[in-house]
Amino acid sequence: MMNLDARTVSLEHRLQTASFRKLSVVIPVYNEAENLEPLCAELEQAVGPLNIESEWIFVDDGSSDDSVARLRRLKHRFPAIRIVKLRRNFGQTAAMQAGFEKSAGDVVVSMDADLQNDPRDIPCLLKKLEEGYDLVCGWRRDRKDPWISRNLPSKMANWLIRRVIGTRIHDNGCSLKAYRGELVRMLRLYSDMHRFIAAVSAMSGARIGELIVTHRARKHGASKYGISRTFKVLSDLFALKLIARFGSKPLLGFFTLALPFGLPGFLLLVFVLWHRLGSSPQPMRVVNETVALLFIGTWCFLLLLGLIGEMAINATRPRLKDGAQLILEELKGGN
Amino acid sequence: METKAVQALPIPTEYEGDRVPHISVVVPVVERFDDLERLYKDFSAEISKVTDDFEFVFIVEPSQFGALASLRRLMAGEPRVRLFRFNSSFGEAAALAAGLSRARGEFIFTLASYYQVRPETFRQVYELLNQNKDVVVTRRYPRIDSNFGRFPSFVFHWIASRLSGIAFHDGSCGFRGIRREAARELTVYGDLHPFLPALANRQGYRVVEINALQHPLDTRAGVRGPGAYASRLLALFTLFFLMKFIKKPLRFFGAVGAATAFAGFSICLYLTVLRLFYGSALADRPLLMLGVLLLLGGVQTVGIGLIGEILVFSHARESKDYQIESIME
Repeated sequence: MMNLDARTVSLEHRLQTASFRKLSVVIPVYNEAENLEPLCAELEQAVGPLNIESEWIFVDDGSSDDSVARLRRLKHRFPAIRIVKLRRNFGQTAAMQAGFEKSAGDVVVSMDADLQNDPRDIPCLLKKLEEGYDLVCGWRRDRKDPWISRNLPSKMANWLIRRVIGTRIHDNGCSLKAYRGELVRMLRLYSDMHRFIAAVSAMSGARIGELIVTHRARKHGASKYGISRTFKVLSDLFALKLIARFGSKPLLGFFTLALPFGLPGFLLLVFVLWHRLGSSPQPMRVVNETVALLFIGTWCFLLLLGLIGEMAINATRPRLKDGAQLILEELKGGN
Repeated sequence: METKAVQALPIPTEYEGDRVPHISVVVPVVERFDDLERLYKDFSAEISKVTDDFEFVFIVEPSQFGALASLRRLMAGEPRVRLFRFNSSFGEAAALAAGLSRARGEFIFTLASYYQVRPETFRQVYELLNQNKDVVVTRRYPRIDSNFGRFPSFVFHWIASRLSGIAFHDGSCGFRGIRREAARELTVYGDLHPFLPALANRQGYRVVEINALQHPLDTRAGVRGPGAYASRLLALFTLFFLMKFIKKPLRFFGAVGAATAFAGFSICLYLTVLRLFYGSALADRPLLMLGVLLLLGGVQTVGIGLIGEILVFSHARESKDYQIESIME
C-alpha cells in the first residue's frame, strides 16, 4: 500500500503503452472463490487507466468450490472477464496453456488468482516489455511465504535452474509475467513446465527481462504446493537442459553421452588384444573381454538411440523452422 | 491414414448432408459375430421405443467377410444401416475409433457384434446419458456363463481400477453409451478399448458404470487364449505409463535407470576399493559382471527416457494437455 504512489501510472507511461493494442490477463483459478472479487477490483484499478483494450481470462482448473458461479456474477460488473472452464483439474501448466491459447492480446500477462501477486505491477511489466523484451518475469524478492517449506526449496531450485540453463532469472516460480503475444503463440507448455517458462523462451531466442514485484501474504484459501517435488524438478531440468543443448541434433547429444562408455571399452579391448596377440601372450581371464564388449555394446546402443532421436525430430522439422521465422520477424519489428 | 483405411460403401441418401440422427449405434465386427440381423432387430426394436431417429454403423474387418452378406441384406431394407469396411485388419480399437468418428448421432452407443447384454439395457444407458452423464459403460452382472477364467479378469480390472482411479469391472463388455462431444475427443487405439472408462475419466468426462443383464446366449465370454492375456497385461502397462508419465517419460525411465546405474556404480566402486587397497582379484567374481551390467543397463534406460522427452517436446504442438468444457465470453 505505501508504495502506491510510485506505481501510479503516469501520463507519459500511458502514451507508451499505446504501442500495444490489446492486453490479455491469464489467471488460472483453482478453488479461489474468496479471492476473485478483490482481484477483479484490483485489476480494474490497475489496468483501467492504461487506455488499452483488455480481457481477463480466468481459467477454471476444475474448482470444486463456487469459483465459476462467482466469476459469472462478477462478469456483470467487469465485462472484461472471460471464463474458460476446464473439464477437470488438469494442473497449473495446462490451465495456463489453455488461457494462452484463448488469448487474443498482443501482450499477455499471466498471474495467480490468490492475491499474492499485485495487479498494480502490470503497468510496470508492460513498460519494461516495451523496452525491447519478449518476456518480463516478476521477481518476488521480498517473498511472504513460510521460509523452510517454500522459500528455501524455491531458492535452491532457482539457483539450480540458473546454473544449468544459464538464464539470469532469480524467480522462475513467480506466475506474474508479461509476454509479447508472438511469444505466447509460440510457447507450448505441457506437464509441469510453468516453472521453466523463462528457460524454454530463452531456448527459442526470446529476450528476457526481470522486474521486482510485490508479493503479499495469502489472505484466503490454502496454498496448493508442497515440498515433495524435488525429484520431478531435477528430472525435468535435466531433460530440458539436454533438449536445449541437443534437441535439434540428438545424434550429437547421444554421441557425447556415449563417449565415456565407448572410449574405455575400446581401450580395454585394445589392451586385451595386445596382451593376447602380442609377442609374449600372457594368460588372462575372459572377464576383460566381456567388460570391454559390454561397454562397446552400450556405446552402440546409445548411438542407435541418437539415430531414433534424429528420426523423431525430423518428423517435426517444419515446426522448428516456424520458430526461426518468428524470431526473424521480431528482429525486424523491434528496430 | 485412417480415412484411407476405411472404405465407405454406398450410404443411404436420406442420411446425407447435415442431418443428425438422435442416436447412433456403432458395431465393430472384428473378432467374431453372431446373427447380426437378429442383433439389429432386437436392439432397434428397443431403441424405437424411445425414438425412430437412429442409425446403425457397422465397421467390418476383412477377416469377418462372412458378415458382409447378411449386412448387405439388412441394408437393402433398412436405410438406417450404414456399412464401412476396413481393407486391412486393424483390430477392435481401430474399428471402434473409426465407428465413433463416423457416427453422427447425439448419443452414440457401441455394441459388440455378438450377444452380450439384453436389449433392455439400452433404456438404462439412455436414461443416464439424458441425466448429463458423458460416458456410460455396462457390466454384465450377475453372470450366467461359467466362472472359468473370471479370476484373471477380476485381477486385471482390479489393477486397472487402482491405476486409473475409477472402478470398472467389465472392460470387454461392448455396450456403452457416449455423448457425441466425448466420442469426438476420445482416442482409443492399440489394445486400449477395455480401458475406455479410464481414458474418458482421465479426459475429465463424467463416467458411470451400471449393471446389465447378461444375454442368455452370451456363453463364450471369459474364455481366452494365453495370447489375449499377454496383450491385456501389456495394455495394463501402457495404461499405467499413459496415466503417469506420458508427458514426462524421463521421470519414469530416469528413476528406474538412475537407481539401476547407482546400484551398479556402488558395486563397481566397492570392487575397485577391494582391488586397490586389499589386492583381491576381481576376475573370478560374478559380482563384477553384475555391477557392470547394472551400470550400463541403467545408462541405457536413461537414454531411452531422453528419447521419450525429445519425442514429447517435438510433438508438444500437436498434443493437448487439457479439455475445455465451456467458454463464457
